[in-house]
Amino acid sequence: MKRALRDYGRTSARPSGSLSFLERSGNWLRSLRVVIAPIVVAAGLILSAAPVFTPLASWPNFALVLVYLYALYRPNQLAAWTGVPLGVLADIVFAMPVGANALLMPLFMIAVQWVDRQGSRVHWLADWALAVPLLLAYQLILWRLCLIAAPSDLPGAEALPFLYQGLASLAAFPLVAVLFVRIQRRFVDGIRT
Amino acid sequence: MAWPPRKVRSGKTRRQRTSAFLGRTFLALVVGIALGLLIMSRFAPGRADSLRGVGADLVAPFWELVQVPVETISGMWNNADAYVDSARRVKQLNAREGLYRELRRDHELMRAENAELRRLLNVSNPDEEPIGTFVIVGGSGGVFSAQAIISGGARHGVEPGQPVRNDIGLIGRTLEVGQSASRVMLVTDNTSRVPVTVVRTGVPALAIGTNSATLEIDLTGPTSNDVKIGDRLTTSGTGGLFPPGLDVGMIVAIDGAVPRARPATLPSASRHVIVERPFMPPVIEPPAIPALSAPDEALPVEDPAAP
Repeated sequence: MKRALRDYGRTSARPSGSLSFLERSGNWLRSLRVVIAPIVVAAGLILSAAPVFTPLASWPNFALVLVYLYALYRPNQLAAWTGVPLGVLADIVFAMPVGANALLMPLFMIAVQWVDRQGSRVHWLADWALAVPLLLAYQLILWRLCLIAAPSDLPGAEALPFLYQGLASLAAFPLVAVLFVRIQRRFVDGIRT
Repeated sequence: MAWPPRKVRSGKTRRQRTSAFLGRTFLALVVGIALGLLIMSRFAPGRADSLRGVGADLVAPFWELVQVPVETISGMWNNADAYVDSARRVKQLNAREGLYRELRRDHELMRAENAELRRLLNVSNPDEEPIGTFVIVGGSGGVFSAQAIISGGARHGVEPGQPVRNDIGLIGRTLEVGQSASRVMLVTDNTSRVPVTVVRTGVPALAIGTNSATLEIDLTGPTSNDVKIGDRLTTSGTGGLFPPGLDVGMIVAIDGAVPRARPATLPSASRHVIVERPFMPPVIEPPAIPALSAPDEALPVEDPAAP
């Protein structure tokens, strides 16, 4: 398997008919790298659905931080349209009205990329600071969307739990960023640290 | 004379521009689909219930697996702690034994008296039939709704609308059921309403979830609002879903007209929950009997005057 991965660089330029089974397997494994980003975000969603029951909604939304990081550092690995299926998954996992995250997530990714183009930052702390308004705005708009989309006979949700989760996600930013970099280096860039 | 070449607005090739245009069109399409889903959630919320059941099926196995080593390690730690602390606990239990012996005797007398009175009054109590004991394997983050995921689903006999409890008190009720996992609406969810009784006064009330640490207690209606901090609340059995007598909470604050109670138990207090059948199953209306119509004219009618 390792050999197959190593040989990929040498075999990619050759016609597929001339490749051996091992070489073809290596190519197939390399092609799977494009699904790593959605898988990582989906894993973040499952992590966010941990059986943790706190009086305040203080368990972070790991998936949202990962989406922010991908939109900022690797937008080509997680296209904006992937925000829709990932958002549907988030709506199902968080028991929110289906469509709330699905609508907001691709727009959030586009907004992050637009803000990123407006200026350059040299330190990751600046990216963390940039995350503060963006993540809190996401949570507040999500709250409004949930209010709009929830059936009218149910009582409305309060904004505070959404803000608490936004703050918890911001607090978890460094940890998620370290994990993101590790996954990127190990599984996508192929750099061993 | 040939047409002048078309102006190119950017340095990109035609193929790149087409690709970018197609990408934007696809994005607009999927965002439109998301908007459609949002509108569907508003006007046909039941459509997503089966999807949520599938979501519970997806999340449950992962956390069930993760909890195995965590539970093993915590079990070992608890065993070691209990072993070290055993001598002190034995002394403490021996000291309590004298007090409890007297209370137990009173309790047994009251139970016997209660059973006799029930027999005399011909009171019938539906049996509390458990469906199974399951593990809590997930949550919903507690932002929009307070829900838990349990490891029992349709193939274990779990159905929507069944009471869920643990050894301390009421947890909530089942909401959406997948094949091997289900979602449970906790008593703290802002759509949860549990009919309760204030134990000290016997006054009926309604425990309303608020997606926060406390429940609002609705005492409005033709009842007394005489509650004190420390009053216990138990299920009243009204509505037939929750069996009477389950601990729901305790009054912790009285702000104006709305007292607030702390839930008796949260899913984090114990990993295992019991799912039961509803205390009183919903009454199924018999099918309407069609009204008697006039006899068909084509049929021969017997004439009573005929010989």
